[in-house]
Amino acid sequence: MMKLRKKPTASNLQSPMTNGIVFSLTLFVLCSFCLLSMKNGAVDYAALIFSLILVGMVLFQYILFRFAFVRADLQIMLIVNILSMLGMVVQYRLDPATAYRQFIFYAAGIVLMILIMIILPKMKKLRSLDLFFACAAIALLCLATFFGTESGGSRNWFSIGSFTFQPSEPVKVLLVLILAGELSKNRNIRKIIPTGIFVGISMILLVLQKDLGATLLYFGAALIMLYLGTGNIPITLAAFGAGAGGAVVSYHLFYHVRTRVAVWRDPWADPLGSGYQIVQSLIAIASGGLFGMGLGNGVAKGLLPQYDTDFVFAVICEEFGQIIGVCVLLFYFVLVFRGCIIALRAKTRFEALLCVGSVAMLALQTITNIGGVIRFIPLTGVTLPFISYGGSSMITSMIFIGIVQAISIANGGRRR
Amino acid sequence: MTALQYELFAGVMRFVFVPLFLFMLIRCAKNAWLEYRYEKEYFGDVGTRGEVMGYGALLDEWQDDDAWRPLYDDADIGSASDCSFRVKGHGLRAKHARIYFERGRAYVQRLCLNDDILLVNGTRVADKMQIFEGDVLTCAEAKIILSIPNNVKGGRNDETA
Repeated sequence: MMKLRKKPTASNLQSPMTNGIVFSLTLFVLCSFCLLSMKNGAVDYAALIFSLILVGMVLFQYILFRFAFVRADLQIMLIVNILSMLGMVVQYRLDPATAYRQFIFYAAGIVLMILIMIILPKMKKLRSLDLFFACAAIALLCLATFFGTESGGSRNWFSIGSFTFQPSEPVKVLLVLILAGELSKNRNIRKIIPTGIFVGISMILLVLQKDLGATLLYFGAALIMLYLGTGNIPITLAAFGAGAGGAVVSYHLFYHVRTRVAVWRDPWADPLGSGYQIVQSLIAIASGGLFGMGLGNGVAKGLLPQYDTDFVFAVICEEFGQIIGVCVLLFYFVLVFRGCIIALRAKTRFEALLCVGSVAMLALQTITNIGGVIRFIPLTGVTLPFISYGGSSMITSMIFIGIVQAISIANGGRRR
Repeated sequence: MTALQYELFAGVMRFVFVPLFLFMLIRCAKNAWLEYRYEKEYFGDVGTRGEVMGYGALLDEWQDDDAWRPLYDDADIGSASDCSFRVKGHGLRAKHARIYFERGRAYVQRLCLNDDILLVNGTRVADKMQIFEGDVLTCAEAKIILSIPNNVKGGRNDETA
């Protein structure tokens, strides 16, 4: 362990060595897109221009955080950009049109994140809007349950004209806001029963949508926040038991749950049918080796279904290698670590719970996605934050980061 | 560039990408850890205690300055080792009561069973009760005198903090 020889001063507290990270990230983006621009014989100038725009976005944020949001967490901003840029490179390699759409969602997410960083510290009455948030959340989930469109086996999409979105994604944010608001006001178990009923109704609606991934995320985040909010181990264990009981009942009631578990237990039983996705994913990860096959040399695109969303981690491992795959996992770990430190520094219980709920949601999403891809847990159809293609997912993840950064700004006692 | 040339070039570039990612990861992790260490050193323990909101002492010992112990937000009173206000040998439950701060006011909350003794100035605390400067808290056989300034900043739901 490192020993500090003298008490640090304020000047020591400035984030050290961030310029090198920005330089490396810039180098990675430029090299990747230069490589991709030469893939099809003639030079693809669109790829080069796109890379310059991406680098511009990163530098803009870096300067903004360095000089305007000095109390925001620079490490989190850098990690989010590293993961987003990796996602953008992978998406461009898979399909340039997808990458352009992803860039629009990324830019919208950045704008929302900055707005939240400005507005949230000034919103003092946020916790008193619990009832409004709960009604909005139930209404959104009902929209998808009763009027939604089916995609990938789940009825979790809702369309308004040509605009489609996943209502369960914004409800994640609402769930964290509601739980933080209620648990910061009440610790008495009788008073948080209505919140428990709300979480239960949300999960039932998600089960009806056959959205297993979101159900798991909601349950995990609610459990973590319940424990941190009340510190009551018996109640937390009882809630866990109720969730586990619900999972067992779902297993026996719903065919699709049984199929997912059966495929997880033995994907090789039907490698060309129900186990096709997971088998191809495992083959892609294994064929990448430690250093990967090289950007653009992979074959997963033709073989792997949902290669740009649920299985993007398998594509990364195939083309960039397992070392970078592990790096991605560790980047998420550092992100969660910084988020927890910000939560611990929060001066009010509401802020602490809001921050920890946000990072818990991102952490659970990462574990659920990567766990499914590497056959650690059954496949659930959850996206990988910042990397997978998807507007709802990218914007929701950016909102969570905006919340964490806003709490860092509100409680930062010093310039970084 | 032919397909074969591209394959070779991409194959070489992977040995550039891996060190770049490792470098970024190590720097990010090191920065995150260094910031945590510096903050801990500069501002004290992260999250374990928080701000001192008041003081408390056993009534028998209050004249001794060293007997006054700080009360942090969400201070648990009890005999367990993880209680921030630990009182041994007076028949207290492991977690007997909790003192917390909400909107600038201090409260005591019952964590023990209903039959256990928890009084504020001789009045039984059913669930929670507001406490003031100079109140005497009776937890089982222990009498604790509290020193809590009015309108404490910080604590739950305190927007002024």
